[in-house]
Amino acid sequence: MRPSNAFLSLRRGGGKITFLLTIGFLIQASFLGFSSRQIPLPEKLTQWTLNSFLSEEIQVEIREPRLTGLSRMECSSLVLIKTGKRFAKFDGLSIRTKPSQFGNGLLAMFSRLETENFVLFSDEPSDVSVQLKKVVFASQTNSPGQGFFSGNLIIGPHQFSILATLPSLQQNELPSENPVDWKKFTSHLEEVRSEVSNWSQKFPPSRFYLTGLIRGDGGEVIVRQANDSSMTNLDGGLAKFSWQNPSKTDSSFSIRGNFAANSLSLASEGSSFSVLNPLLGIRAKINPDGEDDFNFSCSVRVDSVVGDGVISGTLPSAHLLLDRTKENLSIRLFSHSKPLKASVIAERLSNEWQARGHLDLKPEHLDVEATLPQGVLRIINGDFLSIRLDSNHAPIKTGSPTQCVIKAENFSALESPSGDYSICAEIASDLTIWINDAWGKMGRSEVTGSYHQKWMPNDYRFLIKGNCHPPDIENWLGIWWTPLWAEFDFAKSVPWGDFSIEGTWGGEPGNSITEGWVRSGAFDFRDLPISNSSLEVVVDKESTRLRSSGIKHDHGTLSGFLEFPRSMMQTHCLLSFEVTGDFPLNQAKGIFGPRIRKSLKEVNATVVGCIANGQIFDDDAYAENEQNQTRFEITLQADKPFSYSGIPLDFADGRFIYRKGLLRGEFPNLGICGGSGSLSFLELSEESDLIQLAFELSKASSYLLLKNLPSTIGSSPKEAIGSDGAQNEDSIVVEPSRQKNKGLIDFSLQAEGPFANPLQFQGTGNFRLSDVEIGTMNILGGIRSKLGSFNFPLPSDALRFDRLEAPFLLENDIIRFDEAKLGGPVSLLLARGSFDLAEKEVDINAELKIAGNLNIPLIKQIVNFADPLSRFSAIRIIGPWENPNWTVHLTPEPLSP
Amino acid sequence: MIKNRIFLLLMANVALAMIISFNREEEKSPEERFTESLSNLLAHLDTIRFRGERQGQETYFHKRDREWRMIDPLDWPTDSIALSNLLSKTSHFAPKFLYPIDSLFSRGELLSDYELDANSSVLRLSGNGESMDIHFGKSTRDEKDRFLMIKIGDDKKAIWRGSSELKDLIDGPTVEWTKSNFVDLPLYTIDLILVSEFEDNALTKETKLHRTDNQWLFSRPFIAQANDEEVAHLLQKLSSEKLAGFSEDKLDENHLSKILEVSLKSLGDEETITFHSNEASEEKFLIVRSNKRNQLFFVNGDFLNELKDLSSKLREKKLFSLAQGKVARIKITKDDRSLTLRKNLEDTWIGLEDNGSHSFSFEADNDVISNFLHQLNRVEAMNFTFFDPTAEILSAEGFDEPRFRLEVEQVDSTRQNLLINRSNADSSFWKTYATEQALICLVDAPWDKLLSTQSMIFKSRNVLPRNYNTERIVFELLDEKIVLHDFARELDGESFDRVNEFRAESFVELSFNDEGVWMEGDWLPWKYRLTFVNSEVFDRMETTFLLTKKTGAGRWLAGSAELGLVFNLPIQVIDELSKKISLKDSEK
Repeated sequence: MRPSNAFLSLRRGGGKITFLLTIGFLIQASFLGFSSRQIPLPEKLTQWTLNSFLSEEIQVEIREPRLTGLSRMECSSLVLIKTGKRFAKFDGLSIRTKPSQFGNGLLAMFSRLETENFVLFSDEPSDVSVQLKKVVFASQTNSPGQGFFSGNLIIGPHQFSILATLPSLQQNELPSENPVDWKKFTSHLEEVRSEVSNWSQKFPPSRFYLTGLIRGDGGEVIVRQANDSSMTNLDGGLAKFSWQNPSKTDSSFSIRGNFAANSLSLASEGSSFSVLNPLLGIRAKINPDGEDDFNFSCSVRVDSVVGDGVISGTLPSAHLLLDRTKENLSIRLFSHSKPLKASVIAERLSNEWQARGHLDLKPEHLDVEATLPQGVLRIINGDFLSIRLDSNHAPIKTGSPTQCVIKAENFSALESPSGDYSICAEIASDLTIWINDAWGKMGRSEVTGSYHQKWMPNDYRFLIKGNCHPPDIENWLGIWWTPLWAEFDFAKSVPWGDFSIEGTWGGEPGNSITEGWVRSGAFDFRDLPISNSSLEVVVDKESTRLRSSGIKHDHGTLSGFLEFPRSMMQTHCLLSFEVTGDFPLNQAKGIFGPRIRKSLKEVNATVVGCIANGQIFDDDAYAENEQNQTRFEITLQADKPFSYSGIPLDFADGRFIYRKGLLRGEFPNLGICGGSGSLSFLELSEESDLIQLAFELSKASSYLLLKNLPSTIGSSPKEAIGSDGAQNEDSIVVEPSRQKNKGLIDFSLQAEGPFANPLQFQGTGNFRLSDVEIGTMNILGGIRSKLGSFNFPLPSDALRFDRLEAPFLLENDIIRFDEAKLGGPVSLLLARGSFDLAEKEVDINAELKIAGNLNIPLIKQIVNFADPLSRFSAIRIIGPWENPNWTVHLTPEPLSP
Repeated sequence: MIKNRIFLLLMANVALAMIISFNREEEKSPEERFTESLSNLLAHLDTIRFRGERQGQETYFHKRDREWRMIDPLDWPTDSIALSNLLSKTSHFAPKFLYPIDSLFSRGELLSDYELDANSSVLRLSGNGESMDIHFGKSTRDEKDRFLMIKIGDDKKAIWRGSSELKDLIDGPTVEWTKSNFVDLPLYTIDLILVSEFEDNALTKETKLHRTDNQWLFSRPFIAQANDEEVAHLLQKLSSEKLAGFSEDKLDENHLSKILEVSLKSLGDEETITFHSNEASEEKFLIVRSNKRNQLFFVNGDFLNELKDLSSKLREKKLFSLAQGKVARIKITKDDRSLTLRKNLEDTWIGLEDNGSHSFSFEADNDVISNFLHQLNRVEAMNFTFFDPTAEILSAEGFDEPRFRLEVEQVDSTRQNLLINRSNADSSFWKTYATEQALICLVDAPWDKLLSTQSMIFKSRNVLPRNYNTERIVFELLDEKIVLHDFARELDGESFDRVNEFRAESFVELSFNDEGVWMEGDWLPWKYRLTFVNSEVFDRMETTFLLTKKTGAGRWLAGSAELGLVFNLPIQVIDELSKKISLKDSEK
């Protein structure tokens, strides 16, 4: 080539190179110029442009949009609006692209997405907030198409720090033909958000780290609890899940998972359980396309379970294995600890559950307690409890593929007396438990029985019979049982019972029904000795009812019915009763409680015929109704002598009635000291023990009556006879044999006063004493001796009196009388004055009328006119009634003997 | 000139390209690059090496087929949770960049000032040709973090600060990274167990079990059935027993004395575990060698007790597994009395009571026999006294004249014979000789109650005529002639069905009195009448029973003049009749 041509060719080529280098320079310069320069974009225009790509339901609002260089789009906020409502919001959103990858598709161009905060809004005010903070979603620099995600997911009080590597996604895997259905996508997102919100509220605040290593054909996720997590019921939790899809042609995939923690706490009402070092492993093979093509196995190991609360103590280590295939399901339990050695398999074969294996428990090493209303009790204790499960080749209950044999030696449940037990049971395929044959001997009890337990509803039934000492099982049956038997003393013999107890565990309160027959030998009930009895017991949701037709005691037979309403009935009635028969009153005053004991306190009777019924209410019933609700009626018929308040009664027929807090007694037919009469009394108010009393008595033996009058209201028998009677034949000393049938008293009294204090009564009455030599009476006994000592010239019978009639006024401890008439065949003594019952003193002014008692009008006047005693106007008797001071007042001065 | 221009333009382009390139690199902070590199590395991680502060040797894990395994210092499977913990903590490790290592000199510092030297803990992650080294130095002044030296790939090392969490983890002992159990065969697939016991290295006893049709059987020292759940328990103990530690390889073999060897076979794979005592050591650990592992390890000496005396521990203790359908004949003999129950062709049972002088047959009750077999199935041997006893032993144990003899013959002609005597040692136990199994054992079963030769125990409980088609059941109060309820099949449904299942629960008397019955000292007069009216048009008949009052939750006696029997009612009949009485009472 000629040099000139060569130069020209170089020059032309050099021009092109220069041109290209210049263009390159300009492009690079402008790229460099733009790459770090922010170009604000108009909000409205950007918003309009973006919305034009979206459907009408989904719109965006964008604030401060800008371009940085050619590869970065940013905005201060971007709000997604769905049907007019804010749906989601990005703060500080930045999207970086790689323009150089323009030709390789949209996915290849994506480089990095960052946002300071992403929030999903909710219409529900109760929903917790769901947001992602400091999100980075970027493609890997060194692995094209592969990316990673990091960010903090915050769901209410829960925080998840996430780092995940993501699989490479090829452009051809992007949905290209069908545009994204934003409405469906956002609806799905809302559902997830709502579900997550609900779940998050069920757990305490937590903080976790999530690591995701996701590949195209599988991946693994590690979830680790943060050390500073405030989640108190999980400590050191770590879980790993991996999945694997072995081939692209087969949709089935396998899953493996492990979970471990230092402790996991589970709380239920009143109890919490800490599972120490739980270790969970799962393996599963799932075929989403294959119906029921699902294999799953799970292994759970725990070192121990520590309970606190209602159940407290340490349960032993255990290993649970679950294996599920399309056809079968098996659960194995192993334990190899000091308190428990177990190897049990429960299998579901052809929809039938069957169990085999053994559990050997050494209860003495299992220190677990239950806090129950009846106290803090060790749940089980003793030497051993063995449970054997095996195939049931000869079922008693059809459809029971498992036979179960339980034996226990020196075993105690809930601190009941230690005993031996033997139980043979069957377990049905629906897990119904049939205990056909059970025997137990503990404490003073030895029973046999059967039991069944069904599920959903949890119906059960015990049939138990044998000798049962009720206190032996008091810890099993709750607090209602103990008070029921508290008043029974079975020291002499243990009752035999035959009981049915059925109900539904966890069902309606009080749904259980207990029905039982009890036959007992000798026992005491509230100090009443019973020689033998047969009793029917029914306990249902309404009440506990005891009925007996033959309670034999030392003095006869009683039949009765007691009903104790259950507390759940919210009735204030404590007891309803009906009793008929021979009531051993002295021994059985207390069997209906203190109120009736008080009512019968003054009665001293070995046995009375009795018909009693009533209801005893608690104090709350009074507060609620402003009236005492307790009521009872006791009809007594005593044919044999007895006493009331020390007063001997020959017979009595009447009743006590208690209504509205007031006790009334009606005894229309009383026999007292040979006389007959009636008594009625009525309590006047609940606040005091004031009673109103009406008492009628006629023809009672004065001797017997005075002999037996209580010291508080009269003389003692000795006093009645007189202290100096032996020396004074007129006054006091009368041979009982001579006098005891002489003197009849008619007495009536209407009075009011306190029940407890007879000296505080007020009222009126009449006292008539007849058919007696008054001189034998202590109070007036001095009349003959005292007046006789004046040596008045009187007719022979002038100082003989044989009847007394004294209407009186009772004022507390003073008996006043205005016109007591002491009469004899000739004379009449008119007296007025008082007896002081408290001081036992007498103060009487009397006027003696000789022949005043002769009912011959003329003679009477003549005698009075000529009466040599007309000179003394009065007799005054004063002082202690045992030996009062007598003075005779003559006109104008008194005479002295 | 042109060349210069081209050159200048070229230089300008290159300079701009470099500036652009440099600027682009500048966009990412070191922390961002760390996260990105780490995430990239985690996606392809296949090797983890670390050396803790107190560990002289490097710990090395390698991932193959998605499973991690410890290679050094032990060749042992890793604990999945421990490794996941490491990966999680590593992936969320967020150190802060301080300065490049090059600047240390200019800062007048040395690496040793940060305690970053050859002895410091180091974690090295690598995979897919990339790697990251993290060296852990001393604590920062605020003691919240540690100084780190991180090298990402080919980048230069730099000084960072980060939390101590990772260092604390890798400083832990080796045993925390390994699986703690030593049997790695799947529990359910093991089908052969051979346990050999040694004394002075000489074989003294062998116990061999194999699984056939999901049942474990002994083949040594005797051929007998094993208890499957006991075997499963043994295997579970083997597979879950935790090793106490790893042994040094340099143990003097002369000091090792073989005590016991366990061979397990699973799917053709065999693992043999040999337990040795170490005479040179006073510690109560056994030294264990497995043919599947190179590493010797220790287990607690008490574990050996679980593997000894397996022939007694694992043997099936139940004496019977009887199904009613498969039993053809039962014979109970006590002294000179016997009772034989034989199933006939109609699947009903006929009994024959023989009291030595005369015998009679009776219809036996299927349910009672089923219950009897059920009771037999629960009988277990407490202790095995003799296997294969000699005639002398049998005679010495009193089996020449046993108290009871029980013979059970199955439909397939197999027999089981038990000879039973009261134990001398403890009267609550029974010496029982199972002839077919050739063993004498102690049994805690109420043989004296169970093995009755009285026909009343097994007599048929049916009290209604056979095939009696009840239409109505009239329940009356006897004295007042009040009908308490008239059960009709159509109206009363299940209630009728329950009462119609009228049969004897148990017999009280084999005689009948028109007035009532004596029961435990109480006279119980008849109070109710229950009449079953059949539906036959041409042969209409009534079957009547008299009932006492109910005397217990499960006790209500009924009598039949026709049958001359007094019996207790079954509970479902008691319940149903009780309901009707309560209903009538509530109507009053």
